[in-house]
Amino acid sequence: MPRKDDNVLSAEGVGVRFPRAARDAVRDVSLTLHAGERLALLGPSGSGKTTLALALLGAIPTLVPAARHGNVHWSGLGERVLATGTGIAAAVLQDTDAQLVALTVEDEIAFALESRGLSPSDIDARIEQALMRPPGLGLARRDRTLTLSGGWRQRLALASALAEAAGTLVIDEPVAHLDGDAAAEAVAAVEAACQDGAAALLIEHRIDHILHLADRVLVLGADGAPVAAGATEATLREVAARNDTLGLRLPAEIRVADALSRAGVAEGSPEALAVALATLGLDRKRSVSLGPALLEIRDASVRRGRKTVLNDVSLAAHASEVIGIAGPNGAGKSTLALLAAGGLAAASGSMRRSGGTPVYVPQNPALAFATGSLEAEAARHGLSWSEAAAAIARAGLAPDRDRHPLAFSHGERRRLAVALALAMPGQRLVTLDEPSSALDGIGLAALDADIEALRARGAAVLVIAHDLDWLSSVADRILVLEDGRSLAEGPSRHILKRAVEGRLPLRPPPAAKLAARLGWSFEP
Amino acid sequence: MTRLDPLVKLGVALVYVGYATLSQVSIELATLSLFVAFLLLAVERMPVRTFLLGLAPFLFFAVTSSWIYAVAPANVYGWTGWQVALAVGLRTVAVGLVSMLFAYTTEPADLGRALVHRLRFSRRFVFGALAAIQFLPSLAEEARLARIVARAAMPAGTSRLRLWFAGLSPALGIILLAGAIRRAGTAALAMELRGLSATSGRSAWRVPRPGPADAVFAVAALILLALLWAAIRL
Repeated sequence: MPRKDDNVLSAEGVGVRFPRAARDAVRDVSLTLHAGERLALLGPSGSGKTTLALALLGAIPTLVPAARHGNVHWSGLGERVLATGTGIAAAVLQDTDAQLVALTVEDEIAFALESRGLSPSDIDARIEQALMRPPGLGLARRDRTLTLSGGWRQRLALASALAEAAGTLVIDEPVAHLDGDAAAEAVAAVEAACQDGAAALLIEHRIDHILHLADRVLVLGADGAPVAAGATEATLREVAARNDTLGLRLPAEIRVADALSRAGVAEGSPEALAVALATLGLDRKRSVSLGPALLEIRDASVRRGRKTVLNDVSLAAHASEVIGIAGPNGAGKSTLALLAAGGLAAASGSMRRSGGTPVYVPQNPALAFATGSLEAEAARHGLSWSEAAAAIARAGLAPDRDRHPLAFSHGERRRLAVALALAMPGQRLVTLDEPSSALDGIGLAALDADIEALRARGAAVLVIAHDLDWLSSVADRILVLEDGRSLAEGPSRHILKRAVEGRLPLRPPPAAKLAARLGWSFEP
Repeated sequence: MTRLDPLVKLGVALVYVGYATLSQVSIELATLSLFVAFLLLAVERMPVRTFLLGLAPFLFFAVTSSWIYAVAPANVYGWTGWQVALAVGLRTVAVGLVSMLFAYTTEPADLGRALVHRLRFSRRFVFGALAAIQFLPSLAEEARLARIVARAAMPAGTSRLRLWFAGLSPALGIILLAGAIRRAGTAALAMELRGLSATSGRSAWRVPRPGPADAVFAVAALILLALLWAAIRL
């Protein structure tokens, strides 16, 4: 492990171009990283953050076919080209679901340690250590990786990287699929590693989570070139002060500080609360008249095999109403959504649904499509091609009738599914399963607009999300689940209040916490 | 048997599979099948449901592969068609049961390590295969979810039969294939980033080694097979 403040990585003029691409995906990036330092790579989706990380690690061009130019120097790497697998750097990729390669927890952790030539006793000791503290705490050595939930898989990927005790950690979206507590534990684990001398390069859209972890930030623009760099808070304030926030999901305290400064209001003044609530979207007063009930679930239970995954849950949703569903990983949120959409049958209880055929947009929106072209997809939704094409164009997508739905990007697929739902006549239930995860600021704004359009169209919208701040800004009511049971339900503000007061198994959301600090009573 | 060396078990299993493949005697194959089934259910305590689910594809194959002999004219190879069909079916079941016993009592990761470190199999091949096993539940879950989503999109009043077939379309295959390719790419990158290709300085962690119990197991297994052979033929 390098000594504190030793230079571990320096890069100069780094650029990457993929084969047959007209322009560089990343341009002219220069950076340095010192031992113990935490650098956050920020930028909108598609700005080249992951590409830059792979180029710095040497995976581009060694493992990924693309051309890298510029100079990258890792201290101690010598003639080797890959910084990982050597003890110099350890990486956690964005798609944790696909990067676990071993069948048991201990094999997963041992994989890289064996490659590095650690002795069997050292490997055993590191496995023990990794499972005795977060994020590995709660996993057992012989647990099957196949049976772990998404959140636990992400924890294991992170625990495996930490067990390498490498000089630098490169982590792409470390908390994307984690609920509040797990995200905080993961951040604390990275912080602890950095206190022991490791450097960290972090890529994350949920900047709130890493605001106090990152010492510095490097912001890439949409064209892959650096647009801002420097100390975290100062740089983010600088970004907030611009009219264009570069597509970042800026942390609540940065946005509020900027708004107060623009309004010329001091933080402790009586006007500060109103400014903060307006900035955070917590002052929204909706005068929407609810329509008829489109969904009524009473005391429903769902079993999967012998396990009861949903237990006596009730939920009603009306036309023009947006209902949030929150809860820790594995709480039964998706099961409830699938039950509501008619994809699953209840083992007990009752369910009544009215209105048109429901639409369910899964976490992986690719699964929402069942045909091979936009035209066939339109027909499946009962739409003429001209109706569908108009809706697709309104969503900012190209209405090419022969195009396969999977030819769109992840975010575009979700927009496509929502656009088709919006074009369908009549009131119906629309369910969005974790639509906000891994979205940048621009994507989140588009999602907000989609949800409001669905509400205006008379849909009853169910939205599943981990981010309680965002969820409360779009939902009228929130249902909190834990272990398949309904734990709390009520207006968004009341749920926020209970979360801030620590009366729910949800980490207090940063924006609501800040508003409470400024004197918000959570009343309209 | 779970504590036995995976390569010794593999060797014994191959001998049993070879023996069953060469045997033409139905009573011998039935005895072998019953013995292995006894080991699975009574000694290894395999749940009956798991046993039946595991055996189902072999039973299906046994019936379909032997049917052609059953309906064939009499005196195939000097036997009646039904006699041949019985032998073929029992052989399939015997091979299936031996395979199930090996798979049920062997940790794939232990087998993988033994193949890499003791038999010098390619790390890319073995760990690639183990990583591929990871995709199966994910693909099954994606297929399940895609079908649930398709079911939800069916209009009210759709018949049960149409609901059951909802989502079973070529498009589902493309969705699953696209997901599998993405996963394979990520897994390959993740393995390489963790030193899969490192050729020097690699250590060997928890490589299974054969011990006295393995010798006893191998000898006992071969003696039992010899006794079976002798009991049928002498």
